[in-house]
Amino acid sequence: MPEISQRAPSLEPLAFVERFRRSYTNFYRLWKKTGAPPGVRLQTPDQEPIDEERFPAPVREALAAFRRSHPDATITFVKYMKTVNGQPTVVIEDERDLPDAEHLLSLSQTVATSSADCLEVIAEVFVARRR
Amino acid sequence: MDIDYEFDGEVRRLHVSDGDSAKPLVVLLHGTAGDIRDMTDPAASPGHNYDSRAALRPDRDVGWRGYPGVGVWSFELDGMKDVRSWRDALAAYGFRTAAYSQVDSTGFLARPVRELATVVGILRKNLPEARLVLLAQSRGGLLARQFLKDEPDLATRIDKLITLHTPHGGSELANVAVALRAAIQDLQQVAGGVATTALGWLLDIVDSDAYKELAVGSAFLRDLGEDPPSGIDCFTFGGTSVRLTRVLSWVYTLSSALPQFHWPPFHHEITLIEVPLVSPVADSLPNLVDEIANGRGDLLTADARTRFALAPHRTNSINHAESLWDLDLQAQVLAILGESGAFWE
Repeated sequence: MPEISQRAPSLEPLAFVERFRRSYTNFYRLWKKTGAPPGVRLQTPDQEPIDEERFPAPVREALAAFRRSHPDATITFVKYMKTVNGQPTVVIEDERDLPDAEHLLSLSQTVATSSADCLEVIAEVFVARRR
Repeated sequence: MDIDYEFDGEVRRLHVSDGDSAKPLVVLLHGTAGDIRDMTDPAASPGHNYDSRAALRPDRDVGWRGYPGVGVWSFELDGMKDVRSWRDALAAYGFRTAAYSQVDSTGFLARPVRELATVVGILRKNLPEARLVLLAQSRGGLLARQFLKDEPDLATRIDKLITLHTPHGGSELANVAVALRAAIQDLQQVAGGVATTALGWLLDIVDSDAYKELAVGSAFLRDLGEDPPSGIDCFTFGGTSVRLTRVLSWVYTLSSALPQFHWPPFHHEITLIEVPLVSPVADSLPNLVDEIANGRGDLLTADARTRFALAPHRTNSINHAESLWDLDLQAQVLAILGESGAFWE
């Protein structure tokens, strides 16, 4: 059988980072003009620092693993977003754009609850500048 | 030209196409569970004209969602390709053809044999100058041989018998029907309804009276014997591919599970893959018997058992259904009919 026909879905890291950047929306700038939607808490990192100590444990572990494999990297978190069933509930960012692809690091966690009367998907995205 | 005829109290219809009267008229005989369309419009029936070598379609953008995209989106089989029927292939070279739907296509051969005698009688009456060639697919070849054995007086204008994937030596599939059903059910566990779509027809055929009559060592085959019909040139063809279609699955790309800084955060994309282990069908079935073993059979017949007496035989790497439209096979048969290079040399 042709190898290509049974390929597992793969992901090239740089391609994803570039896609991440292309799809990015700066909600701070957008909502400064239009006002934030109801139910969204919009803050800047100055108002509410993105503190690693408050990250969920799996995200902290992923970050620690990244630091071990990139010991010279300096990592500063600049953006955070939390969505519930796709709707943003918390956004922390300012007017700055994303770091360029070479300096962009994102970590994320998705937690889902499903039962006969409940379906909830919570996604959190943490964006950092790495140097 | 359509000719209505009565058989066992039922009015039936024989379709005779126009062509060069200097060339033989080719009588087209379909196989088990088939009808006239097998030889005149095989894309309509039996179908199975899967384009199993087509390039896989590119990834699809499904859009942004609020939840991660993970796992399987859907299953499907290969798309269908355009195919040329035997009637059209022969018409392109000026051959007239006669085609009809046999009675009892899933039953025993007794009545189809008598019906063929009626059909040949009609052709002799309406086209008294015509020489005939019998071009028979699958069980149609045994139908032709039984007719030639039973009705030698009607066979005097028949020059050639060409059989396509006919189980002259019988088929062992009927003997392993239970195991075959279990194997197909295993496929259904993995691939769901598409496995039924791809292979359900195979079980229907194997379970039919027609197929049981063709079991290796059956009374019918013993009675038919192995003597070639006298005064008629016989040619046989067989197949050794059991590939029918790939089982394909649209699955989410990994990036569909990764939230992005976007509202909503998950960008769903799906990519088409061939499902491991079960695809392509029926290559993935266990080699219970030669009929379904790649390199030895064509899904319904074993190549070794499509040979007949000392008739020249050609093996092609095609499956049973493909013998209804394969262009190489059509060229080989046309060569036998004198339309191209000396294939048999």
